[in-house]
Amino acid sequence: MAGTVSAQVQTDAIDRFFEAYQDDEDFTMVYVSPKMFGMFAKVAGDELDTELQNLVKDLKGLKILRTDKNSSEIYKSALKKLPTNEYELLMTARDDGQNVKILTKTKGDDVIEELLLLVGGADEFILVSFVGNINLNDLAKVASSLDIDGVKHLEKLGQD
Amino acid sequence: MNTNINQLLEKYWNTETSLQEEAELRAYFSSDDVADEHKQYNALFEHFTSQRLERTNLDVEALLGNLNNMDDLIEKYLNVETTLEEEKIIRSYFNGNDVEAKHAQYLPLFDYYKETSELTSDLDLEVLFSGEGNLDQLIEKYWNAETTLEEEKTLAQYFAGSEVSKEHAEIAPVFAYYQTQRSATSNIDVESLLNAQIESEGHSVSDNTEAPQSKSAKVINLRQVAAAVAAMFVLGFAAVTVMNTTSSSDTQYRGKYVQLDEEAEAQEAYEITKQALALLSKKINKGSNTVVTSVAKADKASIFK
Repeated sequence: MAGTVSAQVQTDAIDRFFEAYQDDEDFTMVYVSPKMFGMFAKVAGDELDTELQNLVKDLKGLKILRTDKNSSEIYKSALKKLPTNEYELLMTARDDGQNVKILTKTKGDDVIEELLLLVGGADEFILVSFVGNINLNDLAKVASSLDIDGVKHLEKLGQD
Repeated sequence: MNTNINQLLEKYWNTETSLQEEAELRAYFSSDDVADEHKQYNALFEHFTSQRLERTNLDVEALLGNLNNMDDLIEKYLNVETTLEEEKIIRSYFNGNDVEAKHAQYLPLFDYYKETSELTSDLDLEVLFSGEGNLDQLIEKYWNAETTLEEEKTLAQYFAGSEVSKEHAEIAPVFAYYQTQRSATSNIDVESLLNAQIESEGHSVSDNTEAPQSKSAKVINLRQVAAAVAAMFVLGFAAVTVMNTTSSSDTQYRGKYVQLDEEAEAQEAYEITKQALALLSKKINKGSNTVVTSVAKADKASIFK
């Protein structure tokens, strides 16, 4: 029970961050409610293969925040304001003048309960918050059907 | 006094504060009189205080003298968290003869940076001693998008230093863009070309495929915007049109707060979810690519030793 309470407090800090920019016209924000995910089967029809379905069936929430104004400052501000110490750093990269950080809360080895994707560079800042169980293996499988080129590199790495 | 601070803070959140106003906020937050309601922002302004110090006082020797910092710096470097100045410090350290045994393992990693630092140091001296007349010419060139990469670096260093003249202070934010860039070298250019290629091919998942967007094109457009706005109000309209057409995949949601909650919106929700997952997947792969190329570089260095 105590676990649930603290999870809510943590999500509140993130919610507050999103809320701060809600009315700001320089920011784009998208919120997908929990019940939406259950309806994908209906709207996607044939396109929704089992792998993608598996991936999204446990998703409970998706929030996206984006801006291309003062993006590197907002990125730094986000790193300060978000409760990053409550997450594990899954990955960090800098490439092409863009910083990427992926923060996760995990349950067991493969299952992620919450994932924050932070992209910050001079041209844009993106924050995506996924809530719900995400399985990275499933994501890798699905990535190819989402037509992302780079997944071949992942597979090559595994072969070494 | 408090309402003044509140006004300044409001401006700050709207990124409307001038450098002077930000200095005021910083001074306020470093004093002992921070009101309770403002204490939550303490950390935020602390951050900016140390940033300024890093940019204006590059006292490499003083910092180099304190070798304990080197472990922290290397740690930061491995987490891709170092600023340009910190990387310079690390580079100087590894170029010198006092590399500690425990740091020797990282030598190959920093060898890569050795060449580039030699190339740029001469250039810096020329600019710093050539006086402001040259600077105005450089800035003019910049607005006309005629500057070379070296000239832009020169401008960036000028604006990062503590001697920016008053007339130039206003345009300093334009060059802040370059502060977060790593030192540009020919190696990285090749990588970014490749990545731009990958990005343009696997860019958007939705039915609205956007035009591929290369990084250099965006920088040039930004300068054209700045030049137009600075010069003529009439052209300001054209500048806004240019900006909108070069924005990335979320044009339909731009500047809006969209809440997808109804059954009728499920299709849209599905599309945006796919896009978000695609973005996540792409970024994860970029991370693995970066690791692969860094490891490859380190290997090459040891072959030729």
